[in-house]
Amino acid sequence: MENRSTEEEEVPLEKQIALVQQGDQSIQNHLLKVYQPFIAKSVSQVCKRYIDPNTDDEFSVGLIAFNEAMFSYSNDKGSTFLSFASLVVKRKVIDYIRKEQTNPAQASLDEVYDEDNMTVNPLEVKAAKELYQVQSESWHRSEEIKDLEQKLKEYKLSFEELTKISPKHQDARESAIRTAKILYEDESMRDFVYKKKKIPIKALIEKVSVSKKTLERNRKYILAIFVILGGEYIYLKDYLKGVGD
Amino acid sequence: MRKGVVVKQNQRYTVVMEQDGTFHKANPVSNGEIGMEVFYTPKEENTFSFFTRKYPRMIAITLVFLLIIFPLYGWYDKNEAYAYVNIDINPSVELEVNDDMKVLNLIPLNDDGKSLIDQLPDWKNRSIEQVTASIIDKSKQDGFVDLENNILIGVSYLVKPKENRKITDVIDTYLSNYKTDYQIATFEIPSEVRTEAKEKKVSMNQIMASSLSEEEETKGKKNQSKKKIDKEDKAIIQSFYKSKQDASKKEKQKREKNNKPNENSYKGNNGKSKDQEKSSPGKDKSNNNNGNDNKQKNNKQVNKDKKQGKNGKAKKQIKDQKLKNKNKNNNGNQKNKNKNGNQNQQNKKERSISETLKDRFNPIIQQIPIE
Repeated sequence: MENRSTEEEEVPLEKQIALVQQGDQSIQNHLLKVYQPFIAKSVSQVCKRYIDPNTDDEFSVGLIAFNEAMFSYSNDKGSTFLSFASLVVKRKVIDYIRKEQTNPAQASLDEVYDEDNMTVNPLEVKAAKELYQVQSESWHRSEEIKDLEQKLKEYKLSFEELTKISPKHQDARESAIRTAKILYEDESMRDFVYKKKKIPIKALIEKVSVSKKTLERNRKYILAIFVILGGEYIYLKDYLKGVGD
Repeated sequence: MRKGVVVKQNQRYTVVMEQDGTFHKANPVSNGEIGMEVFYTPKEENTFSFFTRKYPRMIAITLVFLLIIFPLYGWYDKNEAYAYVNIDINPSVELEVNDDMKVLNLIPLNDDGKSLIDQLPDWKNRSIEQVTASIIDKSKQDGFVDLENNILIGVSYLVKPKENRKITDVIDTYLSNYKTDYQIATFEIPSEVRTEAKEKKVSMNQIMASSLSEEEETKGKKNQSKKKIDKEDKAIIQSFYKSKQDASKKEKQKREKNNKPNENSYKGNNGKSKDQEKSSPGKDKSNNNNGNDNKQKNNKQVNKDKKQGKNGKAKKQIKDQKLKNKNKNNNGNQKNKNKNGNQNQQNKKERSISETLKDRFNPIIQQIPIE
């Protein structure tokens, strides 16, 4: 067992995930066991408290999410498995917490209205639900933004720089977003960007109806949108018009 | 008011992403956490930023530049020569000194000076008086100090010396203890003397000493350019170079004694050869000249006689002249004898005999009538 564990440790994690996806249950179980501290940490970041793997239901939810992440991970997207898994775990736990919090608030239509016993205001419940929804989305976006910031660094980009290079005109901005989508959808160009961390200008000119000068001018912004498209940024894509469509 | 999601929070600004995909720099949003959708006001860029930032930056750059240069200036100032000090014991050494009285360089002026400098450790940036004392001590150890223990220290300033920065005073004060054992002369040397010494590649003390001796020879003339030197120092300087001259004379005498046989034999050979060389051309020249002169004289006499004819009076006059000529010739012969050696004397005798014969026979020949 020790020899096998050492051999598994030497193999890169992404390769182990690939083996799991091919049906290797021993590695799957091994990873679920070895990465329990990672799962607990991710859950703890959501709940903002210590997580006991033996007693807390949130940990179980995280464990299930980690297992799902192993089967849904794709190396082509350029992100590491752990960063991907962390997002998935956190998202699942948030959803679980939201469900747990919204279930007691549900009212039955068959319930008899008793004014004397009435202690909860429906409007208050609604407001609370909306607030929770907003907070939940904010939290998810926060996690995605942190991850996005790290990814942008790999491409030598930053949010401060994006404030300077974002196209001011709507047409130019929409054109840049379209170009980024085309760049992402083409497999060969996508691979080139992942490897070289830069845009294949010559190849891209043939695919889009934009001049080379325009591509050069908006190169960094196109890269930023490409990074958003290539990441598991569900809430960010949902917020950005034209990007998540 | 505009709306967007906070992507970065900073004390000075907040970065916000709008739904249209643009990113903006906003004024700091209170209670705006990352990921939260907020209302914000764009942060205005300072239109005068270029103007206001330009001059402070230039000032900062200038200050940095000055800070870099200032130490270099100080370093350069410390390494600039203030004076040159020549120390003559038997080794002769020149010291380059800055205005902090620190030694910058040691230059040997003779072979003894070279060997002395090689034995002096850590002289650079030490005070002039300490280095001077070290030189004196080392010279004593190596037996370089002359019998009269004379030491000359001449100072030539590149700039006008300050009253509290005179090297002569510093050295005199420091070496006051040494003066019981040595005769130390410290004196200032004009820059022109140093220039002359540099051209001749000798110690400026030596040039100064020679100029002092010239001063004594020309006491009547006024030399305002010369700086005053203490009488004692003058005496020490003169004594130093006299002892050197005496030493050199003694060495010459020793060399002459040691080299006498060779010199005599050389001179003897030269003398003989020279005598031979001198005598042979002299002889030839004198013989040729005498012969020519005689011939010329004879020709003249014959011509004269012919012109004058056979008058008795003329004959008497001729006789008188001949007698005079004889006397002159005899006198000349005697002089030649004295000047030349035996060979010359022999030649002269032969000449005198021939001349006497000619003189005797010429009247007789002339008396014979021509048919």
